[in-house]
Amino acid sequence: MYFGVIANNLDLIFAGLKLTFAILVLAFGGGLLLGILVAALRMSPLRPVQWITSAYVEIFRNTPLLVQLFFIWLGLPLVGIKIDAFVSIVVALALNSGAYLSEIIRGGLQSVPRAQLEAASSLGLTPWMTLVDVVLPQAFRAVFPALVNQFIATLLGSAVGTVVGAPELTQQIFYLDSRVFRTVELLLFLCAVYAFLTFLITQLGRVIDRRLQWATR
Amino acid sequence: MKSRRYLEYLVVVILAVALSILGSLIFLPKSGETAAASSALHKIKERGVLRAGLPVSGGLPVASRDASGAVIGFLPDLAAEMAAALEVKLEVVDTTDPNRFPYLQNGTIDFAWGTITLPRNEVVSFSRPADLGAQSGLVLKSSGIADYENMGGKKIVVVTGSTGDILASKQWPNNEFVRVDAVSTAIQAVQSGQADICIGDWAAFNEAGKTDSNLLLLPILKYEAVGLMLPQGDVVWKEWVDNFLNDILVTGTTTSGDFTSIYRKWFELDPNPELMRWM
Repeated sequence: MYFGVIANNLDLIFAGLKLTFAILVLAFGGGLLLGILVAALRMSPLRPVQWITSAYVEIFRNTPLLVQLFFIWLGLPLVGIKIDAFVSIVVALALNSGAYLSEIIRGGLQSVPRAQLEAASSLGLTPWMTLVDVVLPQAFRAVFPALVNQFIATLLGSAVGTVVGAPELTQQIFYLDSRVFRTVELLLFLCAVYAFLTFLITQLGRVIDRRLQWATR
Repeated sequence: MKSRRYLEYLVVVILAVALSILGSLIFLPKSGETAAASSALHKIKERGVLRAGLPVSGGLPVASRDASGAVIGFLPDLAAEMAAALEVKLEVVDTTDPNRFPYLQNGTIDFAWGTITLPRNEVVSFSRPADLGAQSGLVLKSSGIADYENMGGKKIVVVTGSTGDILASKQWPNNEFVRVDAVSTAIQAVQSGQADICIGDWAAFNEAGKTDSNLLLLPILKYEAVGLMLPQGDVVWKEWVDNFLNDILVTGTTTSGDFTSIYRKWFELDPNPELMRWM
């Protein structure tokens, strides 16, 4: 085992890590916005809106992320939309996590008892005030652990970008391996980095979750 | 409570790392084993199966699958000759450019196919040259690219770790690169306009050009010696493979001696005469 190969290539590794963070933040941010929008639309009384949003959720939850990425990177140029590998993985992950997040958020919104909405209405709260002051705080607390899980899934999903050449962390490690042929050492290091990052996210999530629970007492 | 949770997490991480290291060490030869007993040749005979690491997803003429799912191509035919000479069954393991090395190191495959380079030789052994391969460029006819002049600003797609990658990275270090896992993905990147030019194996590009008239195969950039990649330092297995190649290429004493006809069948040309000079 020779781990010197990692110390000698820190620039490359940090460049990959930076891109992984960029993919994570953009894809999760985009996915969250999409998830909120789709969750709201799925609860719409209009049937066509429900059908379209349901179709989106089912398509992106029931097909592999890898295939979605190839479709965006290789398929969209056929209809004149050409986006590079980095944007392709961000879009694919945002669409994929958006489908999961919409279901998480919808579950959260539906977890607020109907009686509270009626109580808010009888107290004279407007629908907007009911949403902001009554529904969203409770829904957010209810779904927070699931949001953390999805954040971790998005981080790990960013590694799929390697198949289209997005130079994120996994791609940089594979590139390095193709030059130095230290597969076991590099894969162990890669696993350790992802495990460390997910550990940090989990711990941070627990701290925030605890505070959210305290706030309700 | 909190420190206990951290402790539990630490134990899990240490166990995972220890198991990974243990797993990788299991595949290393044990000290004290004789060269013959620890050789891949001995293991192949013992298990009755030759595991060939072939780039099935790379496409014809080297290797591919037919409509029935059977593996076909030049390398499967050559591997079948090897298995017949060894009197064992043949098992094909689909192998990409990057994973040939770990597969050979951990014993998943008994041999792979690849260009002989000195950095690779530091981690795997090579047989005598078995073919003279070539690297070239593949572009869309509509791209206006007809040669390797004015490559500035062109986006190059290569298979990570292939000799096309190494050659292009050296020749055009300032260009933007897209590195993918498979030749098929690299070719599709050119077809879809995600890259301007693909640098890689001439034979695979020539085959792709037959099915897509929009593609243009550029002149050969460089010739290279190609051989069978073998587990590093396995002299017994390497000696057998070298003698098998000599037999099938020239003498035909114990094999069919049909290398030339297998080569003609798939490449539609004769093996390069330089091959014989390397005997």
